[in-house]
Amino acid sequence: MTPEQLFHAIGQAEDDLLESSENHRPQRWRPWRRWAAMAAAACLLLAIGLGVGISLPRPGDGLSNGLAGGGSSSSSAVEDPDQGTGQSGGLASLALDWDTSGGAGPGEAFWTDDPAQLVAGSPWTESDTLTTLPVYRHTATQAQEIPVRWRLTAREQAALARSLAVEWGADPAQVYEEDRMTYYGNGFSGSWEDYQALLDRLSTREPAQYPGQQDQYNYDANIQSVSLKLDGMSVKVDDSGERWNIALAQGPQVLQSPPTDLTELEQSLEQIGQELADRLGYRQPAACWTIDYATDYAVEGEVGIRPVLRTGLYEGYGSLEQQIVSYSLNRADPYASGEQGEGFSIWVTSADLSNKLGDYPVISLDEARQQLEEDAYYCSTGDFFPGQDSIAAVEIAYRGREILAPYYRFIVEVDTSQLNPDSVAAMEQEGCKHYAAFYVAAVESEYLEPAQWWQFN
Amino acid sequence: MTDQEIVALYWQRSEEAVRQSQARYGSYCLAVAGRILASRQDAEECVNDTWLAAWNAMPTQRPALLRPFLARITRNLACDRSDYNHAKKRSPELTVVLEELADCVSGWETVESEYEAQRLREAINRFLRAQDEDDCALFLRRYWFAEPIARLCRRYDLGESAVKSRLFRLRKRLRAFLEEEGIEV
Repeated sequence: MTPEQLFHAIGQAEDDLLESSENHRPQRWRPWRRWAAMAAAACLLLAIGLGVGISLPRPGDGLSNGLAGGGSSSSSAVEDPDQGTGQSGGLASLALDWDTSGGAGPGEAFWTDDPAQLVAGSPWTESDTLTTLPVYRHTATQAQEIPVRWRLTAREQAALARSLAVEWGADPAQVYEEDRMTYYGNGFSGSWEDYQALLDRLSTREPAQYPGQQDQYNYDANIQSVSLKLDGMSVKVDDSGERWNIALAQGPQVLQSPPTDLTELEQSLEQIGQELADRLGYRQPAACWTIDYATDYAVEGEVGIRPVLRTGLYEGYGSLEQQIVSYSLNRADPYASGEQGEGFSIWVTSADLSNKLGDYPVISLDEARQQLEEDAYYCSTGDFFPGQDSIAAVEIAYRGREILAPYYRFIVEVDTSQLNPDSVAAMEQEGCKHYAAFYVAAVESEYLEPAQWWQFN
Repeated sequence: MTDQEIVALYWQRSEEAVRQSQARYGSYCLAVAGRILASRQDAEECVNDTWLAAWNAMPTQRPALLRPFLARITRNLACDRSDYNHAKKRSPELTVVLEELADCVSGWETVESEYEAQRLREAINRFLRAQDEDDCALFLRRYWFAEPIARLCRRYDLGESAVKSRLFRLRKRLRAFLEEEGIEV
């Protein structure tokens, strides 16, 4: 490949990325925060050395922290001028942000012959009536100034990985062997010693160039994830401290592809849930899944399709509101791993729900449908809403980066004219149609900062 | 007038669509072309060609975001006009950008099928989405918009060596990512 070819390919970056880069306001580098974080890590290491117990996030922890004594606004909500501080009935106005994580990734679109299987197992159904749902501010475990994405330092991530490994049955003697831990970040991967050598190399200082400017530090080697590899198990943790992966050489059997009889799928997930309930902190594991189809180019010159099964577990105990929160924000996604599918892996998401902003009044499903007509929605594929007749399914899901808020997630049949015609033909031959996810804020509009919402579409 | 309203004008085949596009995004597209082409006249001609291309594209296309849609047309036209085999037509900035991107590739001309081009396109978008906001924006500003280093330094309030270091690491990361994806670089 030539540089010109690469330059041309970069030109195909998707529109929302380009728009984001145009609107992006860079985070100004504040070197004192990095030193503060390292000082905190040093204290943590000292605490570990002294045998002081450390409290690490567990699945289900966020659920109990965030929903205990619900029904009132959090008095600890941080007043952030950028997030809107207007008050309405004691509840702060919300500046909704957007985060596509939790969906199908960039361009949340699906092919399926049964759209109900895109929301199977969702705790909320169209016949349920809700008056309020909780909203949370996504907070860091360290000082408030540190962005969420840098919540855990390298050592804290390693400590979490080790704790999880022991919890999942690893040999404690192996867990603390330093050479089993690999650190990843900003193009770097290696041992703790390699990481220290990198920090020494990168720790350069750019003197201030004009009066009042601070010295700039080229200290950009944040560790974004760690991986602990043990005999028969590996654990991966990222710097959010809210998401981790456990992989076992042997574990509960997870179906790799959807069975013809969905009862088999339900039974399989129920069994996995029961086996893992204690480790996941679920009192009553509930199952969910999605089945859609992807194009398959395995045979050269032919376009086939293959089913994609994704399974999930969440806390099915408690009120409907609690279950809805768990469905999005505190869940576990098991899948078969290994070449023959003989291994077991699980992604666990455990969002920090300790900063609850309040229980916000929500609009009805009919009101949400009306918002679609009024273009008050977000659709990551860039499709325009085609009409009420195109709505195939709906659920309630939480999304957000700084503000975790509920949304009606509509599965809507959309136009295929811009897609690859071979793929379209292959899908349609199997009876599949094309759908995209349209999101409407569930919180009543009087509690929303209007300018922030409209900019998404 | 919103982007959606302007797009609707294109669909209605109203010439007002071109006037509105020019008023709203003319200087933006000129900046995109101007960073790629050495001659202002060439850049202006690219922008004029952009409106014709947009007129032909809508319908059937209906972009949700008009600014990047038009900018991409302009960029593609400017790249074609710069005629990669004749460096004289390139802006000095583009020459430096291509030298930087040489870090990521072998330099050998590879024949790309439509399938391989699509794989590369999808891989680059996945790479960009895997980066944090600052890095993604920095990468695109340098390698999509060909924004000069000096301007990036002011935008990010960083020294020149800091910006160059970040870009260097991003290029290394991109190369590793493409190789992992099985893309022939």
